Order: sequence, then C-alpha cells, then structure tokens
Amino acid sequence: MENKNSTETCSRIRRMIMDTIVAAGKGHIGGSLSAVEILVALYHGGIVHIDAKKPQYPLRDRFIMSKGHACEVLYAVLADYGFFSVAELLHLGRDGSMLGGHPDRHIPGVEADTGSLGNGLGIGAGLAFAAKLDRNTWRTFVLLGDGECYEGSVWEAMMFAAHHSLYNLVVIIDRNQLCVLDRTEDCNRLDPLDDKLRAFGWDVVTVNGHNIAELSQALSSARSRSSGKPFAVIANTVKGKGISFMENDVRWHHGVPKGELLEKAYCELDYRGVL
Amino acid sequence: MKYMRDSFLESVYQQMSYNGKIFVLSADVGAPALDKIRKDYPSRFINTGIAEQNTINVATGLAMEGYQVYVYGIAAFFLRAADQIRNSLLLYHQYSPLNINILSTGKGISYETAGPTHHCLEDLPVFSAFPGFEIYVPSDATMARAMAAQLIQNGVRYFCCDGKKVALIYNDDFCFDLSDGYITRNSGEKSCIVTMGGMLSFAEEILKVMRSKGIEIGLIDLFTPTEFDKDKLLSILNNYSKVITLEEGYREEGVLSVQIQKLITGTCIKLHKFGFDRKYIFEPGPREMHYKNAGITINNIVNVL
Repeated sequence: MENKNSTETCSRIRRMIMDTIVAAGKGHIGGSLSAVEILVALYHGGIVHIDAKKPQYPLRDRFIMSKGHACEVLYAVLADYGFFSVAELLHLGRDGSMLGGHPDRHIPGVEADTGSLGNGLGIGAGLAFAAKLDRNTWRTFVLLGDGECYEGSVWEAMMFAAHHSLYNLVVIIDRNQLCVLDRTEDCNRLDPLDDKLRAFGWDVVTVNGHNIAELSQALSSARSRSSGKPFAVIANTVKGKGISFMENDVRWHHGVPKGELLEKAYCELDYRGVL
Repeated sequence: MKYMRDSFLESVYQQMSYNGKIFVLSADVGAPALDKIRKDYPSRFINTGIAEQNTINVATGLAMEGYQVYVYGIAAFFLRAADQIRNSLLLYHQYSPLNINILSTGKGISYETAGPTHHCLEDLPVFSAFPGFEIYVPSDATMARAMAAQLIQNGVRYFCCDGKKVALIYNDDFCFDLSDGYITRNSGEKSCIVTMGGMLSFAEEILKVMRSKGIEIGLIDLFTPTEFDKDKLLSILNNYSKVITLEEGYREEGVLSVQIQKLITGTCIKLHKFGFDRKYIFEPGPREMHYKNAGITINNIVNVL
C-alpha cells in the first residue's frame, strides 16, 4: 500500500543515494533514482522474503540487481534494511571499504556479482531452476535496466525461463526510457516491450514504477499466479526521479551535482546532506 | 582410437547414479555418452540450445545452489561466453567456491575441414589469463575419464578435448596422479619435448624415430598447462640443454610456449617452439596438411632435436 511510511522511506533512500555519490565523488545517480520505489517495494514492502540478520539463510528469496551500475540504490536499501551500517555508504570506493562501484558477493545481501550487463537474468534462471528441481518455495527476483535489454543474453534467458516454466522467477524491468547516450526508442527500439515478453512466453504487467501501491500489488501476485509462466513487471520510471534537473536527462546517467546544482538537489530532497 | 568427450561423459554418467547433485548442460552439442545421460537422467540434463552465454549463466545459478555442474559445448564457441565465465562464474567462485566443469570439444584445428570459425587456437591463451580457471587438456580418452573421475571437488575447470578420436596412449589400468599437472612419459639425455592433448601421440612417434637412431629424448605430457607444479617440472627440465614445445596452438602465443618460456627464463636451456603461425587458416584439408604448412613435421622436429 502507498502510505506515509513508504513515501518517507523512498525520500530517505534518495537522500542516502545523494550522500553516497557526493562522498564518493562519482556514481550512477540517474538509474539509481529511477529504481528507488522498486527496491523499497521489494525489501521494505516485504515482497522479498529475507532476513538481514541471516543473509545466507538457505530458504530466503534471492534478489539479483542485474543493472549493477545502479549500486548506490541497492546499497542504500540494503543498509537501510539492516544488512550493514548506513555509515558504510559514505566510504564507497575508498581504500578499505567493502562497497565498490558494482555489487559483489563480499557485500552482505548481494547474491551475485553484477556489472557486466545482461547476466543477472540467466543466473536467476539457474537459481529458479534449482529451486524448482529441489521443490523449494523461495522465489528469485531480478531487476533489469531497460538499456540492459539490448544484450542478447537477456533474451536467451527469457526463452530459457519460459520454456522451463520457471513460475518462481520474477523480473522487474526499470523502464526509464534512457540508456547512456540516447533515449532507448531513438537507439534501438525496445517497444512494444510487453508484447515482446508475452511472445517469449512470460506473464507481463506494466505499472507506474514510482507508485509503491501499484508495484506492491503487481509483485505480490508473483506468489499466487497459476499460469506456470515466469513473471515480468515492466516498471515505467523516470531516470533521475526526484531531482528535477536530472529527470529524463541522459547527462545524468552518471555524475555528481556541484555548486548551485547540488544546493538545488538538496533543496528538492528537502535536506542539507551529511557532508 | 576413442573420443575423449565420450570417456569423460561416461564417467559423469556413472557418477550420476550415486550423486544426485550432478547436473549436465549441453549447448546443443551431442555425443553418444550424452545420449545415455539424457535418457536415464532427464531431470538432471538440459539442452540449453545454441546459447553459450545463457548456458554459463544458468550453470552458475545451479552451482550457486550446490549442484556439481557439467557444461558441454564446442571450444570455439565458449569464447563467446568468455564474459559470463569471467564475470558470472569466476568472480563468484573466488569468494564462494563453485563446482563447474566446462567440457569443450574441438580443440585446436581438430575440426580440420570446418574452417576458421570452428578452429580454436585462442581458448587456452584467453582462459589461462582468467584467475581461478583451471585448464585441463587430456591427451587421450583414458586420461579424460580419469580427470572426470578424480576432479570432483569444488573448482571451475575447462577440459579441452580433441574433436576427433585420438589414439589411446595410456592403458586402462594406468594409475593417474593428476596432482603435479604433468606426466613424464620418457626420460632422455639432452633434449625434451613438452606437449599436451592429442599432440602427445605425434610426440610418441618422434620418440620412436629418435630411439631408432639410438637417442633417448625426454617427453613430458603437460596436461594442465597452468596449474602444474612449476618447481618440480623445472627441476626435470634442468636436466636438459634443449626443450621443445609442441602444441596445436600459436607458436609464440600458445599456452605451452608461454608457460615454458616463463618457466625456463634465467636458465641455460635452449627453447624451440613448434606451433601455428598467428593467422586464421582458411585452406580446407586434413590435419596433417595443416601441420606440414606450419612446419610441424617429424623431420623438422627431429632436426632440431
């Protein structure tokens, strides 16, 4: 449900992302801000069944952040959820920090090493296949970027998952419409993405990726579906969401605002920053 | 003469009868021994189709859940999945050991008439650069079976098999000790050949020719060109004044020539390298013709010895 708590959580995560990239002096801010509500719905919304105190509990759900470059949002959510200290965020990329520029298995709560785009869904398909084979009930969730969907390996995995009826596999696509240089529809058209996924044998719903209620409703149904198909949620989002001058602007795929822009970003996020 | 891949897969098949955690994937490549696995263990076999990238990713996911995974495919096309081998598989393996065994067929130019798309002289140099990736090159079907039977602990391994039936060098009752990474086939006086894979039978011919001349040469089967005991092998090679590397790889960039060059640097040993010119081979023809074109002939090698 959309409520005050989830709104506050998303605001807090956005501030943590901002603090992280300001402290690091770099970061993939656009794609992190677009995925805030998706990750908050998954973790804080209770979709992903996982206990931060037992990150290796065998029957936990698995979440793979395939768009690993947007690690700042993952780190913020994992820290906020209790996997590690929030203070650790301010050390990203520094000597001795456990947080690097892409997620890896050294970090509590991270299931797979991602950063080379296009691999998370295939790994997730392997996990889901193993769970099905072992008659385990845990689910595998994978977050893809829409630009990532240009990788052929994504579609190899899509075919595989549908053919093997991996009903326990859920993919969320952060459909923010932008890749690094261009709008996706000006680069290589992805649309109609939902029809493509259906043609590949997936159940598909499209939601507003910044509406926690819509996300939660769609993702909750992942456990109750009876079609036997893998499940895709296309989350329509805005790259750079929450900071007006970054929204829908390809220049903010990667970068840190400075000077007046930083002040404006702080103002729009309604805080002063920790640094 | 026997296919290495079949002996390897026969061992896997036998192990599947008592190890329920073995899972086999094929990137749409067949073998008689694989047919038995498909027939008797259909729930633990997937033909992933001609999709090497996804095959490696799926294998990674299965291994993360505790499966001992075998991936079967063509050597040249595992290069297509180099990214997945490195980033999905080996990065994870360094932190949390996995058990994944990639069985490739079509080593070197063993698909002799298939043209350069199917030749593979680059997989071993590329994969030997990947930390944590153990490379094994069986020299006959007996050794391939021994490798499958013995190397069952956690590890990420690449077994590079010839695409053709290869003469049996080792008897069925040969007791393989794989721990040193090499087997001394013969000890000699001044010169020693270091080789691997199907080239071993070619080297054995040279051994016979030299013996007919009253000269004993050393012969080392370096079946794992990256993981071998370097101190032990160097102590053996130090007994010779001349070492010859013989491989179905590029003459200078081949994994054997690079590894042995590195090993003997600083010694007085003279090194001669036999391998292929660094170019793609378009001319169709039998393997022997390609060897001859590259200067890999018994006469040329005997002249160096």
